[in-house]
Amino acid sequence: MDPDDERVRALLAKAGEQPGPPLGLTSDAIVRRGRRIRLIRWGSAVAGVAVVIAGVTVSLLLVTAKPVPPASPPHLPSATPVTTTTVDVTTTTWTTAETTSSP
Amino acid sequence: MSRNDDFSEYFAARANALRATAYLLCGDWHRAEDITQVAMTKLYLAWPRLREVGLDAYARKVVVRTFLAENRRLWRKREHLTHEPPELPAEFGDAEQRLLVQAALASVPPRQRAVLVLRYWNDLSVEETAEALGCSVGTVKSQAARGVAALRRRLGPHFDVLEPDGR
Repeated sequence: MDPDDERVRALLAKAGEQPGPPLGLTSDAIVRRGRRIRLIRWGSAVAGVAVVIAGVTVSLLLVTAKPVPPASPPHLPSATPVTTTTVDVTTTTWTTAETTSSP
Repeated sequence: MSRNDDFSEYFAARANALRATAYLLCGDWHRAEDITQVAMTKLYLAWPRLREVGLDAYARKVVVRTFLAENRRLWRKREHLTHEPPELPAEFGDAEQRLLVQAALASVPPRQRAVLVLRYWNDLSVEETAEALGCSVGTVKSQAARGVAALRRRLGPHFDVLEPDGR
């Protein structure tokens, strides 16, 4: 084996051999944190699925619904030019009759 | 045994070793603890599918990759050594040797340091180191050679003088 390898191995053993401060982590804290992350991931997944389902449903409704035809205009009463003509004729007739019978 | 009991048992057995690896990588106990926390949390989340893969390998991989990712993010804040190591004193104790090695290790570029730590502290093979770092075997070999050269350059004459048992 390369002597340099052995030397580096010994150097790293020296640098890493000190115990350091006590570990501030506990497995309970990690488990709690992990559960919270899992809950958030689960909630995000459920919310995502709900949004996708809602989107697909709305799209399907928009695509399949038939377009409503525009409303026809309301039926207006017919114009009365005929009546007016009739009245004129009648008036004329009356005038003629009075003129004829008065003398 | 439940998932939590399994995890607690593993945590009790391996948390300190993982923190030591993280410490060698970053040279700071607080940061090492943060990296260990991230690694352990990821380990807990992936626990059900890790039984066959290998817990230690996965934990080491997460520690190294978390370190490298943080390093990329915090590259502006990285400390740069500005002075050469002091001359070797007449009385050269364990603590001085340790500080000298840690300072020299801190001056090695992060990726080369990761290779050195995995290869020579965790005693991984070249193939295992490549798998942990997600790179090729050739890259591991070249990075290891450069890392050793950087360490030798940084330690200067101390590289050959330092003894593993502090003599």
